[in-house]
Amino acid sequence: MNACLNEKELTRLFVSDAAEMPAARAHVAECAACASRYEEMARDARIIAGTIASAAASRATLQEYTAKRAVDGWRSDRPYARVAGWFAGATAFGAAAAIATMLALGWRPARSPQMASALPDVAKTAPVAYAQDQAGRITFDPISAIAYDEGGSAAAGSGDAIFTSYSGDDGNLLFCAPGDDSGMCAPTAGNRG
Amino acid sequence: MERTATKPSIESEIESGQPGGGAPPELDEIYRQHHQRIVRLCRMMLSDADEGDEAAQEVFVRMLAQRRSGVEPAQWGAWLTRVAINACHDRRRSGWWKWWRRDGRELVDSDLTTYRDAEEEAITHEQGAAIWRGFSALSPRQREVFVLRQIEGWPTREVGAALNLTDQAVKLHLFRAVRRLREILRSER
Repeated sequence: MNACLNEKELTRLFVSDAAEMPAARAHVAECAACASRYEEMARDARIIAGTIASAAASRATLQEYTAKRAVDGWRSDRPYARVAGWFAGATAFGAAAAIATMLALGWRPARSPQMASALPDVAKTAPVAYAQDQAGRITFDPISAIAYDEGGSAAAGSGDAIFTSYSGDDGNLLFCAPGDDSGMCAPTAGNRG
Repeated sequence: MERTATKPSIESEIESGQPGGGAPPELDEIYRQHHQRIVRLCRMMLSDADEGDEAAQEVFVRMLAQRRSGVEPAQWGAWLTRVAINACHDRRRSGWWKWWRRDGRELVDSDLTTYRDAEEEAITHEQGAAIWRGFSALSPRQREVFVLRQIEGWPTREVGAALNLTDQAVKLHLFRAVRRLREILRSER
């Protein structure tokens, strides 16, 4: 090999084993310029290796370097972290912008359209239900969830239940319709009440 | 035994083994002989002081377990190095999120013996920091290959065997690492 080695070839020679690239080695042995460049590369590698090894051996030095890296990291060392940061920032900004737009258009989180339309009906019917309740037609016991008839006797005892509730084995609250005496609703099942 | 500042190579450790079946060395002696090197190796592999120290602790815990198992390695130095490499691999695989952690423990000045030479003394603090940052920014494979080949002085074949890489892959990683680190060194001059 007569031509001088370029930087890439010189680095390849440096990382190769002794028995490899004999032509390049022969050239470096003869060419003073290439030999000088090769020696400079070897020296740089020694400096780098020594610096890294010394830094790793000293906790204080390493902490110092690492602290500095944390400051510089977003700029150069961790492109993936920078991308992740941009992505997270863009997502947060987009979410904030969407919420602001919805608020500007009149959306309110406390009232969904269904709830907003249902509330007036409740307000209208509540006094009527209260009046009916007072008239003694139907009385609901919210504690036991048992419906009473006009006579005031509990449905479980009289068999005149409008709705009778019981708790199944799994603890779920179930209901028996009037006249349904089959299965779990049978009077002998012991579930009523 | 006093701490030594020399850089033990894998070959010298193998040669210093006891193939003749002599009395196994005391754990304390093994620890003192290899602790500095293993800690440094783990710190370099993981490019993090805290992570490296924890990995090194794991290595010596495994050393205790190995001694209790009754199976004595032929060369403790080589065995510890392999276990350290595997421990660093495991730690990196299982704890990649720890890369985000940047609040180290309180500084404890437990500096290990270094082997600075005259050339390295010429490196300024800023240059050293830049080199370390560049080293940390290398891929894990490039870091491992650079450490084992250039700092620990292992031959290519052994590096490949330890990292489960072909010889060509080892050279490629080393090639890229050397080029990148030289670029950084030049830019800092």
